[in-house]
Formats: sequence, C-alpha cells, structure tokens
Amino acid sequence: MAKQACNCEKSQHPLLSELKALQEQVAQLELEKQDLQIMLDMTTEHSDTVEEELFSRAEETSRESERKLRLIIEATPVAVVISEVATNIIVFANEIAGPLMGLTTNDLVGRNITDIYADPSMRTQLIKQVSKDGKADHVELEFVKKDGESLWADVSTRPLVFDGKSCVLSSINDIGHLKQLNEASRRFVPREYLSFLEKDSLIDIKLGDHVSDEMTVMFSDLRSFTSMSEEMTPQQNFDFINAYLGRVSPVVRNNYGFIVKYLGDGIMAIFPGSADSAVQAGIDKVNQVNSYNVERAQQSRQPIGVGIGVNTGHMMVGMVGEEGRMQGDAFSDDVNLTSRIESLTKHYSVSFIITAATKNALFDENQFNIRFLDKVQVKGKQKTLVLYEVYDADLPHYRTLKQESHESYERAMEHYYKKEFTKAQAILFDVLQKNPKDKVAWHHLIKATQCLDNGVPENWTGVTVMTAK
Amino acid sequence: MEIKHEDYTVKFDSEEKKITCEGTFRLTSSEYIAILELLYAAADIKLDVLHVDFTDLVFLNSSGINTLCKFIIRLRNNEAVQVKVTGSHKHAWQKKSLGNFKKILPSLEIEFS
Repeated sequence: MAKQACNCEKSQHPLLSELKALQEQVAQLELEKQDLQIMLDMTTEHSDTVEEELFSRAEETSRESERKLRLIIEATPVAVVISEVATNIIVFANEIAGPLMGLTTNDLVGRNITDIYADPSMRTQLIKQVSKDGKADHVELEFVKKDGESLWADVSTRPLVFDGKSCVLSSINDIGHLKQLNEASRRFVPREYLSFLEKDSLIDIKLGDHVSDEMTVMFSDLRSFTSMSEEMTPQQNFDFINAYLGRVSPVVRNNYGFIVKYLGDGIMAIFPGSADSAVQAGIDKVNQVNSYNVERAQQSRQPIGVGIGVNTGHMMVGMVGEEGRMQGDAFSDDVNLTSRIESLTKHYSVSFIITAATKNALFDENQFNIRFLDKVQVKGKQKTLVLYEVYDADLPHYRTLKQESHESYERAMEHYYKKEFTKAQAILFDVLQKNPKDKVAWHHLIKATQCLDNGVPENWTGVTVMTAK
Repeated sequence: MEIKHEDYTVKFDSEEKKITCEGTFRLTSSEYIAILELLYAAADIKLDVLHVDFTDLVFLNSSGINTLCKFIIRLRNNEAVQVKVTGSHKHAWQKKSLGNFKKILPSLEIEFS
C-alpha cells in the first residue's frame, strides 16, 4: 500500500510542476491582459484628451479670426455687409453700412438684404457668380435707401463662413457721385465716341487718340440762322439753338452715329458703320425740322430750314487740342469737302446732298429717294464731284411730284451732258410744268438755256465750277 | 543615444540617468519602432533611478502614448528602477495622459511644473 502511495507521489510530481508552470503562465497572461487593457484605456483616454484640446484650440482660433475679421471690417472706411446665403439675412454690418442705407447699423442687421435691392433678382445673380467664380468684383448695383432714394454702388463680394454659416461678404462703395460725373462727362464725350476710340472711360482718353478708316461724315447747318439770330436776344438765341439741337441730335445716336462736335448751330457727325445709317439720319433730321416747323407755325414763328451734306471717304477721327483742353475732331480732304457740300444746299435750294462716294457705299440705295443733282468742282479743288439729292424728307406732295418726274428729270440730264440742250430743255419744261417748285429742275433749265443761247466750247464737260466757298 | 528629427527629439543620457522627449510626435506606429527600441535599451540598463522628462513634449498622438505605455511596462517588469516623470502644465493633455502611467507602475513619481 505504502509502495503504491509512493509510486503515486512520483507520478504526481511532474504534473504538479506542469500545473505550477501553467499557473505562472496564466498569471503572466493575466498581467499582460491587464497591461493591454490599461494601454487600450490610456490610448483611448489620451485620444479623447488630445481631440478635445485640439477642438477647443480650433474653436478658439476660429473665434480669434472672427474677432480679427470684425475688427478689420469695423475699421474699414467702406460699407461692409455680411449676409447669409440661404436666407439672405444680414448677419453683420459695419458702422458705415447702416447710415449709407439711411438706417442705423442695428436696423440693418437682421433684415433681408433683398429689401434694400432695387431689383431683388440681382441677389440671385450675384450669389450665382460668387459660387461659380469664387468672387464677384465691381458689380454695379442699385440699392434703395430708407427714404426711397436710389443708391448706386460698386459691390465686390466674397464667400465666407461666418458664425458657422455659409455667408457672403460684400463691400459696398457709393458711386452715386461718380455715376453723376460719368453721366455729366458723357454729355461732353458720348459713350459711342469712347467705344469708337476703343476706350472704356473718359480717363483713358489722351490727346492724339484717333481712328483712321473709311467712314461717312455728315455736316448739317441751319439756314439763315445768322439773320434770324440778329433779331433775337442772347437768351433767345441760346434757347432756340438748344431747342433745335435737342430735336435733331438724337437722330444721329439713333442711327449708330455720334456727334464729333457742334459748330455753332451746325453739327459734325460721324457714322463708322454703314453709309445707309448716315443717309437715314439725314432724312430723320430733316423730318425732325419739318415737325419742329409745324410747332413753330402754331406759335406764329417763321419756319427754319436745314442743309445737310454727307460724304464717305477715308478720314481720321480723334482728339485734338492741348493737354488742358481737348475735343473730338475729324480730318481729311473728304471731311473738308463735306463741309463745302453742305454749303451747296443753299446754292441748289435743297435740304440734303450726298456725294457719289456715299451713294456707291450704300447697301441698298433703292430704299431711298435719290436723284442726280450736279457735277461740280468746288472752289480750290481740282476733283469733280458728282452730287445727289436725297428727297425722302421733302413734304409728301413734293416728294410724290419728284418721284413722278424722277425718270424724265434724269433723262433730261443725260441729254444735257451730251450737249443736247434742246431735248434737255424740253423735258425740264415738262417736269417744271408739273412741279414748278422743283428748284433743281429750274437751275438746270437755266443752265441748258444759257448753253443754247451762248453756245459751249469744244471741251465743255458740263461741270459746274464753284467760284465761291 | 538620441533620435533627432525636425519636429521632435528623443534623448537618453545614461550618466544623468535621464530620458528627454521634446517636440511634436505625429508618427505612425511603425515609425515609433526606432523610438521604442531606444527606450527599451534605456530601460534594460536597469539603472536604479531614471528621470523621464516630458516638459517640452508639445503633442503626442495615440501611437505615441501606446509606445510610452510599452516603455513603462518594460520599466515595471525590470522591477529595480525608480522612475520619475516630469511634465508641464503648459500642455494641458499631459496631466491626464501622463498621470495614467501610475496605473501601470504605481511607484512612479510625477511632477508638473
């Protein structure tokens, strides 16, 4: 029995050692497990601590930058408004913004910004531009002040996160005065003239700026203004001239031309586009004078007459004068000739003369009533000019008579230049029987008669040589 | 022994019996291996005392605290060492995170300046 027990002890010994080893291993594992748990807890806690600290720091940074932003905006001498994109509510405005809109800054904050827009749809356009381009610079916007008065401003806008909300910051610069100045300056140098010289602003205009090209130029003048003005006081003179120019000037602009300068009662205008526009402007101008004469007749005032000369050719249009005082002008031989042609309206007793160069430059001459006027050589020039009369703006009765005799009249002139004066004379008699007031026909009838009476030299060309300017 | 980087430094001075960790630690766990090896080497010398200075440790990410935990466990397992940790109130996270080292090694001393 004792031997058995002894054997049993012997066999149990390795097992006990193994058990002890296992128990140690378990204890070791248990310790490692505890260590791992502590490490996990510590790591998690550390992450939370650091995360919290970083978040607080980020918040503080954000608050600090917002404080700086407010400080900058408040010190800015331009009106600044921050408005929320989603609601259009003004969330911040500096001290300049409120009074600019006729409100206190406190009244402005909390308002819907579209309430101060003259056209609320502009807000949508502005936001669209900012989201597309990341900014919107120098947008001209009209606001309505508290008293209903309009306020024009140059507005530059940027996206901005403010108080955690998606907003836009707009700087609003009052340009009302600038706009008034611009409008005032346009009266001196019209927008059309600026764009013709390829300039954005009057500031860019320099002495010597010019465009050299083929263009149509128009000179127009009041008939007998000098004798009329002698009977008027200076104030009456001014009133009359302004009434007249006020009526005839817009037709230039309406027909894509611009007035280069006023010459007393005269106007010098350029049409850089088609010659058709210039001819139409001339017709409109005579029509304006006709309407004005109806008004004048009602006030028992004598009617006024206008003379218009139009020519097409190469010319330079630009700024002349000196640095301290400059004005627009046009130069070329063709420009000088046009002034002479305008004077010829008196000689032929017509309102509107164009040159062959203008007639040939027309896209559609059939839209106008144009008839041959004369071949002339103006004083001091060698070149023979072929002139035409535009009679669209003649009073309807006389226009119809001219249309009816148009073909006969031109046939008469063909005979005349072929030295067939008797035939020319006969046709012109016929034309004048139907329209005794056709002064051009009279003019040519007298010339044909003179040629018949006096005879003509071999080298006769029929060109009328002008001996006076 | 020293590991020096643009953003951080780990230095062991056996004469002074001092480990210094300075700067901003934003490394991945694999990048901490070299640092852990330096710390283990210092721990395994089994100095009677060891000063671990975290005063200028500005930032430590999760893998970093994990690495330091392993180092403290190694010190604990080496029994004989008396560990003193110094930190700074300038870096608010240190108080909480470094204080937890006592859970691993209760005999550890901590001072914040």
